[in-house]
Order: sequence, then structure tokens, then C-alpha cells
Amino acid sequence: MLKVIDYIFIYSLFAIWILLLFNVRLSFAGYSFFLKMEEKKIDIIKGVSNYPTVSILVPAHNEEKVIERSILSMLKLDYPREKLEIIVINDNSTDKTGEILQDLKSKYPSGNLKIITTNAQNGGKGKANALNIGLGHAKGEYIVVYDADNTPEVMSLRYLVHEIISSKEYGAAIGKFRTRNKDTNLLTRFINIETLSFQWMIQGGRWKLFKLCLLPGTNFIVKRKLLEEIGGWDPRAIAEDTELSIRIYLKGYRIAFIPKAVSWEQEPETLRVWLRQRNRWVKGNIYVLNKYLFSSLKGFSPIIIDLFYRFLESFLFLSAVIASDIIFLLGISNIRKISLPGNFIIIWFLAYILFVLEISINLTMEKGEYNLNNFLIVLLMYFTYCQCWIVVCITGICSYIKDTVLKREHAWYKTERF
Amino acid sequence: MKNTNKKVKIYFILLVLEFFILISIFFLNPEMINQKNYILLCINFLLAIGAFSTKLLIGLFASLFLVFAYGSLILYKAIFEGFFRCTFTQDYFWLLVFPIIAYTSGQLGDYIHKSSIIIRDLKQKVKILVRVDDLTGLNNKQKFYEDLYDEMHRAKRHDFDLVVMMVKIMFFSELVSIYGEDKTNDVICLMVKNIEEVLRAEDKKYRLERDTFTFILPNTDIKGAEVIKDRLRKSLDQITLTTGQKQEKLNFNFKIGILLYDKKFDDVLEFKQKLEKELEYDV
Repeated sequence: MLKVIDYIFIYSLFAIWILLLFNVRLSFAGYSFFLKMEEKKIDIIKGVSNYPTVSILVPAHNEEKVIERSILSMLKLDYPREKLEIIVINDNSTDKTGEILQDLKSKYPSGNLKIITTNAQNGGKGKANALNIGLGHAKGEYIVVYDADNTPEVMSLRYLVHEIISSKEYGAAIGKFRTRNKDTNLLTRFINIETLSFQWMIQGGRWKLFKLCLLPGTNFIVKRKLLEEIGGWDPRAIAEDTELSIRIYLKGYRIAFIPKAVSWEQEPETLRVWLRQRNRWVKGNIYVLNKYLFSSLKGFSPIIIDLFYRFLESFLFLSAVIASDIIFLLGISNIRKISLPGNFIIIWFLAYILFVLEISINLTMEKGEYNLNNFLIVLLMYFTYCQCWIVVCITGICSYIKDTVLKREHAWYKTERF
Repeated sequence: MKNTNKKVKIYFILLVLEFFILISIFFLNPEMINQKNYILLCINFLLAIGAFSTKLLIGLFASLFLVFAYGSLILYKAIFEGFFRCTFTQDYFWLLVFPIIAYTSGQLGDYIHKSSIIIRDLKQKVKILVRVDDLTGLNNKQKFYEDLYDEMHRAKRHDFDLVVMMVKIMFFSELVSIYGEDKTNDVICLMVKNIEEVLRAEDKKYRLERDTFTFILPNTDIKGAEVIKDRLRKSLDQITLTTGQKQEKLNFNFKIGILLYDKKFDDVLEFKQKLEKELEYDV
């Protein structure tokens, strides 16, 4: 006779198995996307006959440590100068960001660099608000967003433009971001592996399977007209990128992924900053779920099904992991034991080997990333970095509920730079 | 290249070692010898061949699929058949073996592929860089075009006479089939010896094709060249090959063409074409 605890255990086993299956499928899809990209010959010079005007928006709030290098690399972008403007929104910075920007503007008068400085009334309300202010000043037909710590590769803008104008159904196109400070410490190495796998598996794989992609918050291009139609960024959203992606899909457009447009960014170097940044992502995603899934359904689109699926995925995973952890603890402390006769360590063994294999495959796709060091880091990652994510999810959910109950505004946390 | 070779050796030894360990485990645990394990061993063998002959990524994908499929099978048995006699050697063990075999054989295949690419590239480079014909020690075609270009310019600038001579062995492939490769090579070496005796030290000598020689004769007018041509023909006609104790007179026919540079054009290819045409008139 099976007890409740057995059923819970079978549920968690099954949930994890389903997730493993889906991830194996995503890995295959990611790889076939990678192959397609490798074979695709893109002539970014001849492929575009008439270059559209582009406005780059860079929201900057206290970015003195990184802003100079970022703007310099944007000034070096290979794109017709008269068709490009760079708009930096100096959003209530209290450090030297403003001075550095003014200095750059005077040094590069032909760079078409515009600086918008916000005041206490209109600024300091987060990235989405800053981007909306920038959008108001932008003149380009296309809007490109880079975070203030981003150093895009010289040709990346051409790739983005080439991709978005290649099909009318594309409302936006995203590039690939890489970790600039990956060799700083173990955490940045973990993040480097995580971002690469995320982009090939989740972005590349889902694009290949369902033609779905989410804006990553930086290194993307979007049609200005479309942005204006949908009313710009939602200032209340703290994961403004995900939120905007959903509205783009609801409008009937798609978001393309072009990994050849590469931008290098700085990732958190301390666990505290990492936890706060990821906490913001979790809260931002719950906000999106709440806005589109739990509230009234605002239109039907594959993205809503995807959103529902993502919610289920997170829920399944989290509940399964927590349930099995609790069962494990109850078992070893002799309080309750499952009565199923099977030997279930197999599911963890299986999950671990699949995890290592999938990440290894993703690293193999990236030149120079599959080496012994990274392999050892992947072996370690499952027991350390991935477990931290569980903590982030739980604290994120708690913090969101707390903010909602206390009717507090969800605060936008700006990632600290190093 | 050295590094790649080393890695090929390492991965080859590793792969052999892995299969050795795998088979040893079977011998040490006779209870493992059953139909299921035999099928799994065969699958690993196929996996190794597949990963080796394609590439690492394909191998890893194949092992990903196998690990998932086999893991799911064990899990199914655990839940629905109360199959709890799972032991490491019987079951979990294979989940580790798939990726290890795929990785080693995939890497071995990749490194062998890499070194063959390196060899191919090197061969191409050698072809471009080499300036000497390995049999005769004369300069080769590349060097001929370079030198001809220089000499043509020099002749034009300083108003020197420049003659180029071409010697072609007729019916070369038939000769090779009659006398054999070795004997023909011996004759060519003898020819080169004779040619060097007839020509001046400052004349430049080239082997353009297997059957064609060319000589750049600077500061030589057409009359002088005609004299050299006759001398050369006589010398080449007298070639006798000594093998062991017997002397053998070989019937080699030559055509010799000479062309004076008229300083009106600079194109080396055009010049060579005209020179080849001259061979037709050597009747």
C-alpha cells in the first residue's frame, strides 16, 4: 500500500524526468541551430543595400567604472556614422558618470553622442523609465539597447541590422552576450558557462523549435515604430526585457536570434551582487507571470503558451527538488521513509550525467571554451552554483510576496560594477 | 602538429585502456555476463566507432541520448516493476561508460582529423614555397616565372638581349612505360649533367614539367642561342646509360625552341606560350 509520501516522491521523480527529457530535446535543437548558423553565409556588407538609421540607447546610473570603455567601443562600431546616434541616459547618477560622458562628447564631436541627464522628477525610476526617456529623444528607425557595461564587437551592429531587416515578421533581433571578466574568479567562470549554455540551449534551442526568443536586456535591436505602438517599456516591470518580449509577440511579431552579433559584458564578481541581481530577475519574472498569466488573458499568442510552460517548468522543478530534498532528509533522520522498493539514486545519477553532458555539448559549440578547466567547473557546478539558484528562487518568491502584501513598489536593483 | 600527434597517441591509448578495463570487469565479475550487458557492450562499441568517424559533438549527443534512454529504462523498472536489485556494476556503471567512451573516441577522431588538415595545409604551403625540383636540383616552375619576370624587366631597362630556350622530351609517358620510372629518372639526371656542361654558369636552368626544361639566357642574341641549341642537341643525342657493365643507348627525342624577348610586352605567361609555340617549328 503506497503512502502519501510515496506519491509525492513518484511525482517528483516524474517531474524531474520530464524536465530532463525536455532539456535533452533543447540540446539537440540548440545544436541544430548552431549548425544552421555555421553554414549560413552572411554577407553583412553586401547584404544590406540601404542602411536604416539606428539609435543606440544606453541607460546609465552610477556607471563611472565602466561607461567610458563601453561608449568608446560603441563609437568604434562599424556602421555608417551619419546613420547612427548614441544616446546615453545619465539617470540620476551621483558619481562621475556625467563628467566622463561630457568629456567623451567633446573628444569625439563626430561620434553623434547625445547625453540626456534626468532630474529628480523624471529620473531614478529604473531601467525601463530611463529607456522610455531615451526613446523620446531617439530619431532612428531602429532602436538598439546596450547596458552601460557592454562592449559590443565592431561588426555586431551590422549583424543585428542585417537580421532584423531580413524578415518582416521580426519585431526585434537579439545578439549573443559573452562574459568579459570570466577569468576573475570561480563565480564568474560559473556565470560564463551558464550564459553560454543558456544562450545555445534556451535561446537557440527554443528559437529552433518554436521560433521563440526573449529579449536579454542588452545587445538587441527593435523596430522603433513597433516600440511606439506598444507604448515603450513598462516602467513598473523590473524584468523589462521579458515583459517587452511578450508584448512584441502579442503584437504578432517574432524576436530573432543572431549569435554572430556579440557583445561582451561584465558579470557579478561577488556572491552578494549575484544574489541581488538574480533575485531581481526572479521578481521580475513573477511580475510578468502575474501581469499576463494570472490576470486576464490579454490576447492569444504562442508566447502565452510558452509563458505558461515556463511557469510550469519552474514550478515543477522547484517543487520536485524541494519535495525530494525533504523526503531525503526525512529518510536519513528516520522520521518517514518511502515504502517503494526501487533504488532511486538513479534519478540523481541520471540528472547529474545528463547535466554534465548537456553543458559540455554547449561548451563544445563555443570555440576555446571546452577545456579541462571548464569541464572540472561543470562537474562542480551542479552541486554549488545550481543549488544557489534554488535559494535565489525561494528568496525571490518570498520577497515578491512580501512587497505585494505590504503594497511596496518593487524596487529596481542596479547591478554593481567592478 | 607535435602536440596534436601527442594527443592522438594519448586518446588512442586511453580508448584501448577503457575497452580493456570494460572487458576485464566482465571477466572479474562473471555474474555480469548476460544478454543485457552484452547488448550494452555492443552499443558502446558502435558508439566508439560512430564518435570516432564523425566528430566529438555527435558522439556526445549520441551518448546523451543513450544515457537518457537507458536511465529512463532503469527508472521505469524501479517504479513499475519494483526492480530494486540495482547495483553499480550492473546498472549505474553504464551511465558513466557511455559518455566516457564517446568522449575519448570523439576526441581521437577530432585530433586525427585535425592533424590530417594540418598535413594538407602544409602540403599546399610546400607547393607554394618550394623553388627546387627534387630530382634534378634545378629550379622549378614557380621560380621560372619569378626569374623570367625579373629578367624581362632587366632586359627592357638596360636594353640587353634576352633569349629563353625550352627543351621538351617527346613521348615522355611512353618512355616511362618502356624504360620504367627509375631508368627515365637516371636519363633525366644525365641530361641535366650534359645541359650544365653546355650552358654558361650565369644561364638559369629550370625543370618546368616532368618532360620540359627551360633556360633563361641573359645577354644572348638569337645567333648565339642557335649555336647553343645545336651544341645542346648534339650533347643530348649522345646520352648513353650505363647499368652495371653494359652501356645502353637510349632513344630519346627532343624538341628545342628558342625565343628572343622583343621587349614589347611584360606578360610572362604570354611569353611562355609563345616559347611553347616555337617548339612546333623545331622539325
